[in-house]
Amino acid sequence: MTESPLPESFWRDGRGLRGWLLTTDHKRIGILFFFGTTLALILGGTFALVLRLELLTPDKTLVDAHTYNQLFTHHGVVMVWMFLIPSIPGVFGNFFVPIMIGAKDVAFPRLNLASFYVYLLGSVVTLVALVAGGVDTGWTFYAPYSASTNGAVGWVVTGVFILGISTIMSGINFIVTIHTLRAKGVGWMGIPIFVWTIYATSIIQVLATPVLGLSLMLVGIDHAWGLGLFDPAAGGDPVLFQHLFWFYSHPAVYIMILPALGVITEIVCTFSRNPPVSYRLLLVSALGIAFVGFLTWGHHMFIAGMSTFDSGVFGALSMLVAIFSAIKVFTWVATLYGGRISLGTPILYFFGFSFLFVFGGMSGVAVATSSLDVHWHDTYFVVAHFHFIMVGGSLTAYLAALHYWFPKVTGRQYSGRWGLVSAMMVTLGFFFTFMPQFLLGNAGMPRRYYSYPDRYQWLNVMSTAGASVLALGLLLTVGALAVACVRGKRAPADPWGSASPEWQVPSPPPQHNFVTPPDPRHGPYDYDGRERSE
Amino acid sequence: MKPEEIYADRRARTHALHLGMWIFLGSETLLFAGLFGLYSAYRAQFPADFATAVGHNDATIGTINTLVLIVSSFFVAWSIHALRGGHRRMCIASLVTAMALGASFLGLKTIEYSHHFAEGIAPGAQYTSTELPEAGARTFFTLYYAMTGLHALHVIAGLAILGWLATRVRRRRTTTERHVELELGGLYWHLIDVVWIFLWPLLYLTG
Amino acid sequence: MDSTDSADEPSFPSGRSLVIALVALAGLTVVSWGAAQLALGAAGTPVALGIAATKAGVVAVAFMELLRASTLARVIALVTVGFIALLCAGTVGDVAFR
Repeated sequence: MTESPLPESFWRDGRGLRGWLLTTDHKRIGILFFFGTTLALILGGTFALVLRLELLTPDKTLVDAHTYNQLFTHHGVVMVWMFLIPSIPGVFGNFFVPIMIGAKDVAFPRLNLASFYVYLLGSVVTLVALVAGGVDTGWTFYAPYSASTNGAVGWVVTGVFILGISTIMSGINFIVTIHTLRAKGVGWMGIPIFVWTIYATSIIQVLATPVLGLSLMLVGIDHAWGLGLFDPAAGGDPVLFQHLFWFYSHPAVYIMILPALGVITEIVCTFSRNPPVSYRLLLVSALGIAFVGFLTWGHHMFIAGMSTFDSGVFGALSMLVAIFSAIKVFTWVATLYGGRISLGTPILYFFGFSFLFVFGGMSGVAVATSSLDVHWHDTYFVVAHFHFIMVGGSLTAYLAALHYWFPKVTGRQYSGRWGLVSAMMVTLGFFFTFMPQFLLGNAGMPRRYYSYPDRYQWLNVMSTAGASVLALGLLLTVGALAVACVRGKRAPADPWGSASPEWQVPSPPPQHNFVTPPDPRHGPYDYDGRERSE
Repeated sequence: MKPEEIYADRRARTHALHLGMWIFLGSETLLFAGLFGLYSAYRAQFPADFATAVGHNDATIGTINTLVLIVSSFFVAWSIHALRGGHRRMCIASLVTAMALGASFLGLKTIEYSHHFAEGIAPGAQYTSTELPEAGARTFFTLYYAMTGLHALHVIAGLAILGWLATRVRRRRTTTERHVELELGGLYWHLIDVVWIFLWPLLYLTG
Repeated sequence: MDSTDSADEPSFPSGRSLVIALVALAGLTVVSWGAAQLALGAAGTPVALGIAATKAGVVAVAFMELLRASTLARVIALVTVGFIALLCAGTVGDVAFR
């Protein structure tokens, strides 16, 4: 610990509440997003718990069928747009990208603050939908049901539209920041891979989200006044809505996973004290996922009535994504191998992640095979696949990021023992929630069904038991970190021994990020003075 | 944090603003993508109906509107040229001319829409005309209203931006030395022109 | 001067180039209208869109100063058009081959 007087940490600026509500400091905006997205996670998780409780028995347990439909819709909407998409970029991207490239802030700090308030507004409008009648269309708003159903469709599409605007604002900010504010001497190949994944994510965000915006507008207008564009009775084609919706929503899932892959890369390198075996491969695979992600949307529509020509094209292209994801996994494993591995809660999360992500990814290749997907589409098999990626992948990486960067953000350290226990509970709880769902789906249980035949009950009970453990694990995680905020030991600048730029500044960082100007001669993976791999 | 603390100099910040604006324009363009996608698909499904419906649109008004927007775009570009040359008043006059042209565009579209409504050609569920082949024509016109409607919303926003810029130039907040906002606002107006350049043949010419 | 004020970038468009662009755009509009009067059949739409793309190019270069903008701006312009084409290809590939 240095003896000379340090500038004040960013937590203190003497402006009280105004200093938080009107901040343009990217670190504080990251904290604001943290609170917003945490509330969203709790809300979405609560919906999921009620769903799982309902599914304990084949018929009604707690709620009626209509409420059930609303619950899975609200769960999906909240989790996708209020948690998964904004979480890692909004919290960790905001906090760390400027520091990682040697900048004092993002390119447009006021736009950054605005993106948070737009997120807040969109969230509030969405929540109004939940209480003003609710929505029962599924988070996918398929036509023509989304036009004909009663319920607060107008509110929810408006809320999500506004949330989309926040995403685009963030995306523009990150792209311009990374292009223009890299410190002198920090080239494109001298930035951490996490920055590349935020960059790739931002590209997807700015290109794909407008298409969602249009789709939502069409649903909203259709619901309010009747457009008939997707109504067979008026000569419309419901499958075309699905094309528009998935043209956004497939790239959207890469918005949800790419930042997670960036976080994992940082953790793997730090905890093996190794540069990535190939920086270039990780970079190319991040951009590759972003690009190929735009070419595959039809694989959500194999049994919707789409032409077999399109099914063939989309099925083949969908396989390509797995190549890029696999490149990342092999690179991480190779990086660990031959490294000097230290153990800590973040790398424990990686061990869980690596299994769950690979398993989830392989199940993705399985459902991308259209001849197989004919059997699995709209069953719990698909539900299991995407939860393995979204929860087993994204959420696990989010928790890993929390535990990795906690000392940097708060200046305190948490209990490694509780970190281990909560990581294990989360991973095991997750596994027993969603592994049974692969079996359920394969056995024929459809998704979004309120009741089911008796023979599916035991797997549903196992899934709900797993969900309870997962929920407890998450509560434990939050609790342990909260305790550490108040009672944790002071953390040094670099508790993990990482070479990455954010660990060369104090914990917590000062308002202007740097005490001494960042030194670009040492790359982010420069362990033991080893040359960067590129 | 103030821009001076983040950027090396004003030129760096101007560059960043331009970059941000182009990305935003990309986003705005993609907002129309879904409508082009629907148009292509439905046209492939109802080629004859679409051709007939396109033929029913008033190509005269459509063509005049195309020229109106092109000329307005010229005047916006001219306003920047004028201000760079130190001609403040010419800049303002050009902007006002562009706004007048933009307003005429909207005026002509209003006339067009009212002609259609009088014939029972209205979007979606309000479509009551029986003159044209039912399914294909109704879908065409619903798309027509969606595409031109979304475009018109952007024209209205563009008019507001041009008005704001003209006011800033008048108040000497936007000057010969510092006018990045004029350049950025101009880019937005030109995008509106480009979108219409593609809408015009699809909705008026290819009948 | 904003945007740039150094000698290492192409200079601002002259007033003359703006007028030439306007004339070109008006001319291409007339050509497009004329082409629509001919019975081109199936070639009508590609011709019309081709002329539209040319006009868009003129606006982009002459009015929007795309060539003076950064590489990323030019990439965005191309990618945007590419993605619209991609979505159209996907939907038409469905509808046309059912």
